[in-house]
Amino acid sequence: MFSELIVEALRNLMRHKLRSLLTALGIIFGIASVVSMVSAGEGARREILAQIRELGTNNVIVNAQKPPAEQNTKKAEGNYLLTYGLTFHDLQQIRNTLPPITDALPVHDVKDWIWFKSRRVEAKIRGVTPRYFDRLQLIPILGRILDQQDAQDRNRVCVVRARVLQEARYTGDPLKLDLKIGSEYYRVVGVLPDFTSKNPDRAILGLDDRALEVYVPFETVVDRLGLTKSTFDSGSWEMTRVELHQIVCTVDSEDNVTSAARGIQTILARFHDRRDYQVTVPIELLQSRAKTQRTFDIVLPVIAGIALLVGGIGILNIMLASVTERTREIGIRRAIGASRFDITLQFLIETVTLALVGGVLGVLLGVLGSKLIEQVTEWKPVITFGAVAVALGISCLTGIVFGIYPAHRAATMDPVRALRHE
Amino acid sequence: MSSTSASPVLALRGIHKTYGTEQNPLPVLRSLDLRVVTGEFVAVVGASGSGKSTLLNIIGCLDRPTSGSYHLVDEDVSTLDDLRLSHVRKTKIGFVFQSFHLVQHLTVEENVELPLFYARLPRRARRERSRAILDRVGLGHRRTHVPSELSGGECQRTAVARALINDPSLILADEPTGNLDSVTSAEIMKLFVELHASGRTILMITHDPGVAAVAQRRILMRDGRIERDEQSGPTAASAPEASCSPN
Repeated sequence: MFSELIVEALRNLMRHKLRSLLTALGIIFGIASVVSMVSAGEGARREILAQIRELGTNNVIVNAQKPPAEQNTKKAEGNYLLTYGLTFHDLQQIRNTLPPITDALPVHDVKDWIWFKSRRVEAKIRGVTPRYFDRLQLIPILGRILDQQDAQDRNRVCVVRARVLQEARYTGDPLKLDLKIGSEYYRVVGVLPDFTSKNPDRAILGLDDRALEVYVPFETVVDRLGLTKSTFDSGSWEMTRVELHQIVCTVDSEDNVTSAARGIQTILARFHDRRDYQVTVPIELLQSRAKTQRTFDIVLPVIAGIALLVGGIGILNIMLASVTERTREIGIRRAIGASRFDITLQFLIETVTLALVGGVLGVLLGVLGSKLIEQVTEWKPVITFGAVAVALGISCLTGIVFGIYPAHRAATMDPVRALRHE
Repeated sequence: MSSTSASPVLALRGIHKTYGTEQNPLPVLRSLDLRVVTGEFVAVVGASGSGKSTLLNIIGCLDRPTSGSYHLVDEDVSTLDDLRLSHVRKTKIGFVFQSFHLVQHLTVEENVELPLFYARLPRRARRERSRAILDRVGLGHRRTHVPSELSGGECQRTAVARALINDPSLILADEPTGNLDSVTSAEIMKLFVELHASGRTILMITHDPGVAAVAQRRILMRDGRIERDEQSGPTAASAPEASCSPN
């Protein structure tokens, strides 16, 4: 019965192809916008998740921060050595006093030249411990990461980003390259992939999409390049001493991340008289981003609702016209035994079918639209089964809501008068 | 064949039908009594506005009388609600209309099967019945055509087939030859006579005295009342060809 009514409804729609298409247009665009917006939102949501996962949901990251000039009391006293940032003492305190923190890794950064024959490029030399790679899920595409032996022996080895090799225009075996950093040669033992996606939060880790990154054992950096750096700035030498640029702390569980971060704040506040550090919790970034996402989640249904309301009214209008046009048919059906319910069902199914066909076309258009979004913007829309199901559900519902009145009109016609209708 | 001995198909008692408002009532049927028994072929004649169509609509359960009782095959249908009336229409009554009243976008067999569709009969059973009946009215070769591809006579045959498919107790025809030329009229009337001969009960409205002459019983209506009710001698067919000649 149902299937035959649906077939009949489809036949009726096909008899007026243009009219059906125009009627469904509102639904088509409404659903298309829903699908493409939901998929764009879903894509953004997944990207945020991936970005946060890149930073590590169990991590708390402490960065050294150059304090504002007026706070540099030592410089004001005529001392040209600027000391700020995190210290070995901080590291020790964090490791020893906060039980939820299972690991704290030091990072020391140095900006230095790397030489390609006579050409030089400024690179970011990062002194890191072997576990750093593990913690931030840095997986080499070639060779290996730094290991405990490198750290113990203070080996002159490095792991580089693929871009470094590109910049060097080096085409040979990367693992046979001796890279000249400053005045010394370092053997390349591993190559890390370049960043393929953008992640604005990456800067918190001290990672830069554009910088040429060279990873060297922490101990090697401290021993060979030292902790004090001299720069020639506006006519005078300036000395800067930073022991640690970053401490990557790992917490035993996600639930303890926030309290551990608070603990770190307390410890650092006790030993620092200036704000020369910053504590960042990646998982909190996730939460604030998710909040932005939620605004999107509210705006979207409103827009979709308006689109579907307009589409639904279009359908209502045409179905009312169709009922009037088919008055005689309704009279005939009633005369040969159709009940009011039969007539209601027939027109309701016709409206729902129209709305559903619109919905299906809308989904297809929406898929196309999200592909377009992918081409034009940097978003990566993700079309989920759920989004499609919801879209079709909504179009079905629109059909029911706006089909009830025309169907009711058709069903309550007086059969005698309907039969006489010309 | 005496109308008192056979079982009544329909019995109307004191039927009134009034249109218009309470202040300005417009009586169409006034205290009408009618009894039709199984196997009768009744022709209802009368001028326009005499209440023929209203009578037919009430008998056909498309309309309800303002007052009076109506029994159709031992069931009091004058008080039934819309759903029950629909059920009565689809199980006990077959309609044939002047302007055929076929659903234009459905094929001949789909039109014929429509009453069975509403009776929730499965598709295969419907198709079987419609084939048999279309063969019987001589339209077996037109099954998949749509009404616009058919001649008037063929349309009316389709309508007759549709009226027959639910094996009704009563066939109601509202000027079935009114839109047809004399030759096709004669053909359709022949079909009705055959139906009557096979035991069907038929009530037919007509303007055409020739058509009315075919019937075994003629009722003349005037001003919402039955003015004359006459039986002609032979039960079944007088020669239909002769009766349908143009006059």
